[in-house]
Amino acid sequence: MLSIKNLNVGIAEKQILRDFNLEIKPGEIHAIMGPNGTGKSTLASTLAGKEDYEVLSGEVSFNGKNLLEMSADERAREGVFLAFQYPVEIPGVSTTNFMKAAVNAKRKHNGLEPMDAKDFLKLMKEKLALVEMNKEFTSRSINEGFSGGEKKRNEIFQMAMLEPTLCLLDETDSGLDIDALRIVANGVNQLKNKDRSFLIITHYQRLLNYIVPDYVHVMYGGKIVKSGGKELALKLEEQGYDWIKEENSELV
Amino acid sequence: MSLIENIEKQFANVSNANVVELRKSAFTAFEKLGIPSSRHEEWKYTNIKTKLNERLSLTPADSQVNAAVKNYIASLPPYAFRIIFLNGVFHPELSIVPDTKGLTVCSLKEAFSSHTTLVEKHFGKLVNYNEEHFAALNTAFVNDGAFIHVQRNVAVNEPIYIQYFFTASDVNAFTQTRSLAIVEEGSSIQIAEDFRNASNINVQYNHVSEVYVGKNASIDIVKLQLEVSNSIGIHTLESQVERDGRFSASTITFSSPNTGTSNAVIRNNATARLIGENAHADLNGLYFGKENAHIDNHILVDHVAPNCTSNQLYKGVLNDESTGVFNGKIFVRQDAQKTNAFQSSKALLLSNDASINSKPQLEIFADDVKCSHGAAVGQLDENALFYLRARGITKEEATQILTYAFAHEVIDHVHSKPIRQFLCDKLKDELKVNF
Amino acid sequence: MAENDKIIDEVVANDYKYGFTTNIEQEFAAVGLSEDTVRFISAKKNEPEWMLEWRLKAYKAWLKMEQPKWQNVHFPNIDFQSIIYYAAQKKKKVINSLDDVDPEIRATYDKLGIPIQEQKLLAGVAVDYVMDSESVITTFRESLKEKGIIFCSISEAIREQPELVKQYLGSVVPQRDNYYAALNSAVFSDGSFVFIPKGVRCPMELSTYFRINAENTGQFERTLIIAEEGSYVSYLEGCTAPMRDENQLHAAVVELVTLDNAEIKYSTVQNWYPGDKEGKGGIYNFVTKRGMCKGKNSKISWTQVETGSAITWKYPSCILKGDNSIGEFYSVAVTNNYQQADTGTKMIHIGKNTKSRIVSKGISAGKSQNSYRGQVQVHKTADNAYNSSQCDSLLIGDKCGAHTFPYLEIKNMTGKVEHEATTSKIGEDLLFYCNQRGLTNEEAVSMIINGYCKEVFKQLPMEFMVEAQKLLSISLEGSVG
Repeated sequence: MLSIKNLNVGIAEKQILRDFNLEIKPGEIHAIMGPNGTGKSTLASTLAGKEDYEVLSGEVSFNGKNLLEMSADERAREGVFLAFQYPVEIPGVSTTNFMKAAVNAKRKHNGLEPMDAKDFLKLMKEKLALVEMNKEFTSRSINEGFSGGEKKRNEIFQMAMLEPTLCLLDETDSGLDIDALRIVANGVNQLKNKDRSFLIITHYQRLLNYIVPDYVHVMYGGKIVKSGGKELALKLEEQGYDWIKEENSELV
Repeated sequence: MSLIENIEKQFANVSNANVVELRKSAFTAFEKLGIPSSRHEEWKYTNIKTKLNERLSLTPADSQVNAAVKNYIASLPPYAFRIIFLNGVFHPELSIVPDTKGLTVCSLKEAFSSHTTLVEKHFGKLVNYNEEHFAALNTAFVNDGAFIHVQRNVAVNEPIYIQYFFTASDVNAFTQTRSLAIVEEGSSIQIAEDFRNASNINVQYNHVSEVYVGKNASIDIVKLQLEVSNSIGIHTLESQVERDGRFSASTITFSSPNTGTSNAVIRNNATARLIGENAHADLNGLYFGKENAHIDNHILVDHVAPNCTSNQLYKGVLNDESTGVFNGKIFVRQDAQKTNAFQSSKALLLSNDASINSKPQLEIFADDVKCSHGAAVGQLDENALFYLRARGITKEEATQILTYAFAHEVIDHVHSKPIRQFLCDKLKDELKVNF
Repeated sequence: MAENDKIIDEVVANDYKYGFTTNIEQEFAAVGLSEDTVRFISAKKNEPEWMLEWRLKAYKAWLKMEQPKWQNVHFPNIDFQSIIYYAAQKKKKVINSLDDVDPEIRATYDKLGIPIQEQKLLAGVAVDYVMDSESVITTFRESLKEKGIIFCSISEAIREQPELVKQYLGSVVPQRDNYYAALNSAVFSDGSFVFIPKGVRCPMELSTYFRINAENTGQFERTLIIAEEGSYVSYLEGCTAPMRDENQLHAAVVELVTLDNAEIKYSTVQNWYPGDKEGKGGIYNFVTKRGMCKGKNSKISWTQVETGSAITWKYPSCILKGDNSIGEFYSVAVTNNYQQADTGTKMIHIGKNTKSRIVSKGISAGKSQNSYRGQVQVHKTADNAYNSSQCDSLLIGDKCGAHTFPYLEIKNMTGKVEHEATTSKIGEDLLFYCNQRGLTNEEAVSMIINGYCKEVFKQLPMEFMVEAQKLLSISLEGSVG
């Protein structure tokens, strides 16, 4: 469903991703780990279509379509979801209204009528339960005054609402206490199905105790330098990244 | 005889070869500007025209050292650098200026002849005498002042303490004093300017500080106005901050009573102009008004270059019939993108005859900025007061403790440790708290 | 950034949608202003002698005054001698039903989308149209009359309610209050008069649509609303004006008076012609709006959504004289292209336990300048006065400016005043977040702006809220990228 070939990406004249390659099939969970500054978040932002990131060369196809040709909002309507590392606050706009606009934008894209208010509320209620949030949350302005954990839960809630096919989680676990982490992971596990794929970017192995990945990749110097199964994450947890850095010293 | 005519008459007595042209054009500007009345927006809440004497004399008043001067000097902490002025006249015999590599500390008068290039480059160049009435007057007529120059990459660790005493024997005397501080690239310094009425009679003075902060340099300046009874003091502090430079100014005004009526009129203009990228300015102030004191703080942070940051924190406590004025402006020019500028002004009114006029302003011409200001006027938090009293502290003491806590935040921002300590002690004296 | 510029250009290119003129025969006063003009206007309106005297007093005061220059706006000098101070429809006849209204005017209203139809009336809106200074029609007056409510043109009130008018006209905004108020007092043409008697809750929203029509005609509406003890009224004012090349002056005066326990809610949606892309033309809107909470526990609330006019200079204010009285000001001011707005409020606390709240949301785009100017005064008598102000500015594009000039003057130690202001822009991060949820830039901007202004919008009556949101979308269509 997602195929990234020889992707080179830069920002402000500095190249970050170098000949990056990755294949993700429907229903797979991929985890990307790596030390700070290796391009993990750049990968997520580039896939979501953030304009600051300049694609120098390479291809990204998503469900057979050229992802790089689409604007950020088109990608979202096509089913790409990014759970932000730093979700922004939007004063005065409630999560309910925000989601109504987003859900209906996607429905319109798929040739459907806007959802009626009753169905929408029902859907919200159902998805809120997934992340153990109460209704009061959704009437507050998006992320305004939310704690770190609440912001991340809100991201997973939105993911559930929009039913994407590709979920990008950008350090969703960073800064979460163990309860919030459990809730977030539970939400993700319940959203897992045979058509939906996940790309989980994380700095810590801890998250992978809750979400079991099919593949673990280690990124360094703008590319994947090692791939393996769940055990790779455990090795990183025990031994840190130094051995990766040593093996790939030529990349920096 | 009109004010202007009076000043004009005395212009003939003032001359200084190096900068005479500049002084002349400053005088021309002053002739146009005159003394502002409250119809002038910047002087709306301080009608300085009616406060100053009708007749003003620019002839330096007698500068005899009196007991008050001696006692105060003796009470000062042992600062490494001490520069004493009396009615605008430098007193080397009371000053301490040790030789330090890379640092020049001398009188402005001396600098006019011995540091001609530096003086010509900066004197009168930082103030905007075409618009600022008193900066124009001072630039035209000032006789002497303090001159500080720090060469490149020199960190001066001891604070430079400049003491301006006023004891004017002539009630019409309008004493002009001035400081010029130039800190070159990569250097740092801390300066204190202390203004004090060392007499029981009315004094009037007009002080200008020009501060140049070079690239990646830093200046912390503290203005102390701790004895201002019977004083009309007009202060102009202008700074220009180059790329990566840091400028910090704290203005502390206590109108302690000594005669039963304060009769203090203090006006502080403080300007930080951030002309290089990534420059930073902190402008803080604390003022205590008692009796009929009038304390006016005018602050301008001028964001000229992009990516600069600034903070303003002003706190006031007004008692008796005192009046406070706060006018803080954040000005962000069109090129100053990515500016982060904040301002907070808080005032406590502790008497029903006290009043405050506050005018926080934002003028923004760039779009990618984050600016905010908050202004609050009120009383001490009732709940906090009650909490302390529930622990057995008297109402009076609880008020003092909470006022101390309120005020201390500003003093905390003073970088120089000995000066911070000095101020802490003064604040405790002022509030009669012991802890 | 290039994308931003493109989208901003699109906004700028969005032409004024209500630009058309109506051809109706007019009767004009001679060009220029003199004592004779004042006499002419007064005579035209069959005014009693005392009214003429009142006008002349204002005219004489005006002669001695100077045009104020302190605002943060710039415009060429106005030649007060080139303005026509009175224009009324020539043929005047008594109108019994809507069918009798000039079809051209009807067509104009339809184009504007003004809800004049029966169903709208049934919805409970009585509409008093002012077309070029003269009342054309007043509906629903009868049912209001039953409750003792008077809702008529000010001219009619002068003739039929002289005692009320004498008592209150100029009691909040005196003739010599300011330059433009004095001018208005001398030459005001028409406007609305509302009187709500003791204990009556006005059962419907009262609304007036003002329109500027005749070329070169300054408009000088005068509105007076009196709410007696324990009464309540909500008044709506909305405007659109046709496209014109020459600048048009508008200097209205609105006076509100509330007695004990009374409340007036005054809402405005203003969309006058702002001038073209080059800043040519457009309305000069110099308005004096002031309310006096005269009685204890009374309340005056101003809500405004301002998107039009080349220059806006307007400070709806509250004098909180009665103990426990409340003043509110909610404002959204949008400026685009070369528009200039200097707007805000004054809250004057005189009575004990008086409260005021200010919420101002400025949005600047294009090359416009948007200033908030507000004054909060706590007088010595105003024990326990409380004010909270929130003034936010939002910048769209890098050629505009946003300015905040609050004046806080506190003379009572028990007073509590809190002012907060922020300036920010619709940032790329914010837009990207919305894009990532499938929203286009336009959808995102519209949503963000409506969220940003929500606190103000929710003060408006329902049908006005929809209109206001629509207006904002039109003004900032396709905004940022």
